[in-house]
Amino acid sequence: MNKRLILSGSVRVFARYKLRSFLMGLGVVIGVAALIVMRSVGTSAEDDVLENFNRLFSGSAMTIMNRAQRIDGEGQWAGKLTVEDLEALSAELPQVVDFDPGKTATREVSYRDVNRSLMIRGAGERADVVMGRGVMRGEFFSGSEIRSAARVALIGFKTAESLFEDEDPLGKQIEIGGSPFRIKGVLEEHGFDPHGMDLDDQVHVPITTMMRRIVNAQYIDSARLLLVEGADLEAAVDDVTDVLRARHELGATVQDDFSIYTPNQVQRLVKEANQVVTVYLPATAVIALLVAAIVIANIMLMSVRERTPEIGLRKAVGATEGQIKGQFFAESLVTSLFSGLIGAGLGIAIVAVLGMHNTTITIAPDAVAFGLLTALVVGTLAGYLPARRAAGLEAVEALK
Amino acid sequence: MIQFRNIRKTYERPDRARLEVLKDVDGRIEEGAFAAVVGPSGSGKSTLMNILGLLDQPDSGTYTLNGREVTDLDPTERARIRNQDIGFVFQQFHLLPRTSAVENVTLPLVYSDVPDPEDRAVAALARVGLSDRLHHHPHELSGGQQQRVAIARALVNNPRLILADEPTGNLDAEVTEEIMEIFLGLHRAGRTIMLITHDSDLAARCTERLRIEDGRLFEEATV
Ligand SMILES: Nc1ncnc2c1ncn2[C@@H]1O[C@H](COP(=O)(O)OP(=O)(O)O)[C@@H](O)[C@H]1O
Ligand SMILES: [Mg+2]
Repeated sequence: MNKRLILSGSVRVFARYKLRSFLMGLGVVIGVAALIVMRSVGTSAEDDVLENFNRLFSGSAMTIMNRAQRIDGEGQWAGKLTVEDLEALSAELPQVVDFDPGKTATREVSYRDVNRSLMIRGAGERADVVMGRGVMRGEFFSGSEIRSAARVALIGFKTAESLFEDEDPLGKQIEIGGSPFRIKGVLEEHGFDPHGMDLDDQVHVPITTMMRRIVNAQYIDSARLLLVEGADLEAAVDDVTDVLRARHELGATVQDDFSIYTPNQVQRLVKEANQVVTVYLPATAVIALLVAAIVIANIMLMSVRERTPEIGLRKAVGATEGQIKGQFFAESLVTSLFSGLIGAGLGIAIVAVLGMHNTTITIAPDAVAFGLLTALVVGTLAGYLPARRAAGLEAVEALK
Repeated sequence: MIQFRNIRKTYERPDRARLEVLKDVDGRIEEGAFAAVVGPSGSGKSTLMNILGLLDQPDSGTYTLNGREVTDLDPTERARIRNQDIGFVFQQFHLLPRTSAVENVTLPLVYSDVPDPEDRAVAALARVGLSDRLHHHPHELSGGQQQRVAIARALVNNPRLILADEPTGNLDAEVTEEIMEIFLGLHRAGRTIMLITHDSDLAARCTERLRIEDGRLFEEATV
């Protein structure tokens, strides 16, 4: 048997049945491209978020949220976390070396005729160290500004662009919720948080100003504790829990009214949340590819019926059942692999274009490999039945 | 060359009645013969040719081809014999559509191992006078030209036996004569040919005539 002729024959089939081959391959092209794009975008987003987290959680740290999940998992309630709690933790627990309270609210921010609704965040004196985010221009809050609840603000660089365009924001006066604030600095670039909040389009004010002048609240939303290097995280969580429960006077049967997250937990939560993007969406692409396999199998079964005389003739001139089977298998494999390659090219091109707009998006090599492998599987699955049917045709009947 | 004994072939009709197409037929075709097979429509001519061409199997009987008993060979070995020793020509040509003459003629070589398939295909097309139509597709050729491509395909592997089932059945008289000339030439060159035909003039020009009627095979005397 002549391998070269067999191969050129199965490629020639593309030319003989152009439209049909195109339709056969289309599903695979789209499926593989979609798989690569979804997986690449998904994992890039995850890497991006995790990088942010690693920056925030380098060393040992923990985050306390002033809320707890109800036992039945439905809804949350707010607790009684205060700045004083944090001072107590710092005083009582030797492994707590630093802390920063957090409180956020959305308020109208305006400069001249520009009006925007923005996230306002109250930050402590040590926020630049504890949150790992200082200013790229201007100055951070001073201790006296925090103590006196001064009307000063730091803004993200995107906020600066939207409010001031080309003007220099430093020293300018803006209004937050109708009250005047002086801009002290522009915050370092920080990207997006896991919820998709743009951290570069925010306004920071002293935590005291936030609590007294903007929201007039007693309890903070969250806090971050920095621990001594190498601290036992589990033990620290227990210690913090004990202190806070005592201060909040929670009886033995009452649940915690706060939640504590450590870097490991957060990483796990982020990965879990991202499974939708990195696993489930690509899984739908795989299902699409299986549908493509069914389409190919169907078109090929039609093709076997239509090409019955050809099959009979090939048998008459000496093709064995195995060779007929091989021919149709080869056609199915060549179609899927060729379409898979086109789909991979298309997917990589789309990811490249997306990457030009968002530099965090890069191609996921595992998705390309997986896409091509799936194309191969599609070809094998799709070719099986038509190949068997073709090989089983009786030459005498086929030639009638 | 061909010798068969007690060949029996029965089909079951849709109404479950049995149709005895070949009833214990015996016969032989000598090497180098040009044998015509004649008989009414539905008498079993094609059935016999398919059995002798190893495309079909008889219910019973023995068949010796080139001195070899081939009745019980496995499918792969039968395919090899069809490829190497037999060339088929059919009434409906059976050319691959949208495929050039050369590629059509190359088809048997896909399933054998020759070093120069395209050269041999071109040579076979030259022998049927189609050197100037090598790259034409079937729909660009006349019926006679298409049948000549099919004959070239039957010749390309140099088989000793050519089985032709009403090759001129779809062609007009003038073209029929051209095709007959080609077969006569092949016969002169030493090939054994079995030609099924309804055309008694063609049958008369063969070296012998076999008639099938009522499931039996008779040798007709040369006129
Ligand atoms: N697969 C089959 N099933 C049932 N009957 C068949 C089958 N093949 C052929 N026949 C019948 O066998 C008879 C002989 O057919 P065939 O050999 O093609 O005749 P011929 O070639 O002499 O015209 C016909 O009556 C035909 O209908
Ligand atoms: Mg017939």
